[in-house]
Amino acid sequence: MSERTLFVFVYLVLLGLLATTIGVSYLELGPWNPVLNLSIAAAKAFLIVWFFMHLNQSAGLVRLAAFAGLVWLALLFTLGLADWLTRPDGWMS
Amino acid sequence: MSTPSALHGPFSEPGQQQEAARLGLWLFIANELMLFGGLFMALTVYRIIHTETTRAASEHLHLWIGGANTAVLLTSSLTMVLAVLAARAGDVRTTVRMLLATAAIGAVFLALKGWEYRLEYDEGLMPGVGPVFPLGASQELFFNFYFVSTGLHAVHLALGIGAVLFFAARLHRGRMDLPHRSTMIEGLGMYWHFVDVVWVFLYPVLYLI
Amino acid sequence: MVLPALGVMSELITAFSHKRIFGYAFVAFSSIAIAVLSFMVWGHHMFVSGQSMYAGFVFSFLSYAVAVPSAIKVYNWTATLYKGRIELKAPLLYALGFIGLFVAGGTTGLILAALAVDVHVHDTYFVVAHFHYIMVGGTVSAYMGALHFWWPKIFGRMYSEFWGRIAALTVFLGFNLTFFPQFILGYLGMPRRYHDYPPEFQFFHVLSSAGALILAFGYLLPLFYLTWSLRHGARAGANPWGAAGLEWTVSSPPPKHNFKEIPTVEHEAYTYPVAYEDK
Repeated sequence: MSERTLFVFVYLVLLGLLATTIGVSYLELGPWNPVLNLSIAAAKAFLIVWFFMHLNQSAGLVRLAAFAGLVWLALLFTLGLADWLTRPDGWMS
Repeated sequence: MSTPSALHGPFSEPGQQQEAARLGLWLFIANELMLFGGLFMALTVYRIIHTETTRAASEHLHLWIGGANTAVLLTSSLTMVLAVLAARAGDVRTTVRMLLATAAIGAVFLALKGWEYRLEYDEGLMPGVGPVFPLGASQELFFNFYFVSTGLHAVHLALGIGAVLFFAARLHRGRMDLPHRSTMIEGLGMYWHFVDVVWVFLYPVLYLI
Repeated sequence: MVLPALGVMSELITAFSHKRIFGYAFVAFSSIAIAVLSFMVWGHHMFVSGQSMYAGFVFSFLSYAVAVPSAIKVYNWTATLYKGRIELKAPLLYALGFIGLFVAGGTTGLILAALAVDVHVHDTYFVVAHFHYIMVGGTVSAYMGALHFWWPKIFGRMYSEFWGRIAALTVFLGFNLTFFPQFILGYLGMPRRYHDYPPEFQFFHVLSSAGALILAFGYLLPLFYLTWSLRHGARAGANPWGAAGLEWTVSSPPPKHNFKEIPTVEHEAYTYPVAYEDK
């Protein structure tokens, strides 16, 4: 498969995922709605980052640098949510 | 990988130079990620505090305009990556065409977004300006988040369009040597795709859940 | 912010005791540990902000953890000094001042990292004194030491050693006189950012203000003798301190292309004592 075909294929998969995520948003799945939609978003982001941003052709060090961004984001969310998810009920009043 | 590229500075081989350029761009993108990450964190916290109002407020967004815009941005990413392929092959004409297509599709996104803002303005959903906000204070907070995050994204996209046009003009005038400088088009592409990724997350977080 | 200062410290201590650094790997990795940990301590600013108690535990623990690599560094620097051939020159005086202020600032940091105590001293002069000890006393002292250490390398001139020592001592004394009373004031309940206070605090406030004057004098002194050295200082050789490190192998100030050939380094860092080539 030439690179060109690969990119078009990835693009079609991305459009397919977009259609799926919109479809899922019309279903009433309760807590599974955010889980599914965010997983689809993560899958799309991975495809873009891996193929379009050439991470599949990059050296290990470059992949590590890209991953480092995610690590900081994970720190922000883990420690931030450690606060917000453990507050007592009615703390605002 | 074996892109021929003009060698300069402290580098001893072209591959090393390309990796250094990519590394630098990833560091820049990691910075940008934290900028948007703060907004996403704030949105998450808002969702934890006001779970029901967020859902209610999010229903007022125009899901299909946002969806169409996602498709538009994904298409622009495809043309961008095709521009990079052409640049690596040394095909200046195709590169310029693909860059112009990317900029045009990016402009379509901004136009659609502007139309959407206009609709929201008419409905009074824009906090602080226009008709009185109809839905109460805590939903207004959601719309603040919505306008700040999509606005920041739009600014990034507008800057991207400017950069794409700048490179297209330089190529057109023969000021840039392909395929030797194709790393620059690649870097431009990485920024463009990153702005795309931000939207890929903004769309479900704001419109869908 | 303090990390570059920590790096400078290892340079200064080894150069003026003419000894290899004690426990190189520990000194190096403790820098990384401090860098990593300090990304995860922001919640210690929010102990009384309504933050969840459990998040408070986590942030308190992580803040305590920073003390471990910091202490390793301080112990290793003092161990480096032990039985070294110490030259009490201006840069080393600044470095020793750093150790004193950093220890005082660090140990009071532990007091602040304790959840319950922090509620008592939150938003008081105690906090102000603590972070000034680290960020101004400590960090600026190290940077002043660095300026004096590399001054001959940058401009090719020696400054007045006598005035350099006077300035280093003045800064140390002035700083402690300014901020130590603030620890006491803060613990007694003096809040930050108020111009008014009960009369029994008068004495410490006066001490602190007097210290500020001395401190200002100490910080201004180098401005004069360093400027003076630009014209009248003795010419500096390539390596006036007998320091290891590649920058000391080229002339002062360094030529435009400092290394015509890329130098190959086969020895480890801080290979002291260095033979005096040029003094």
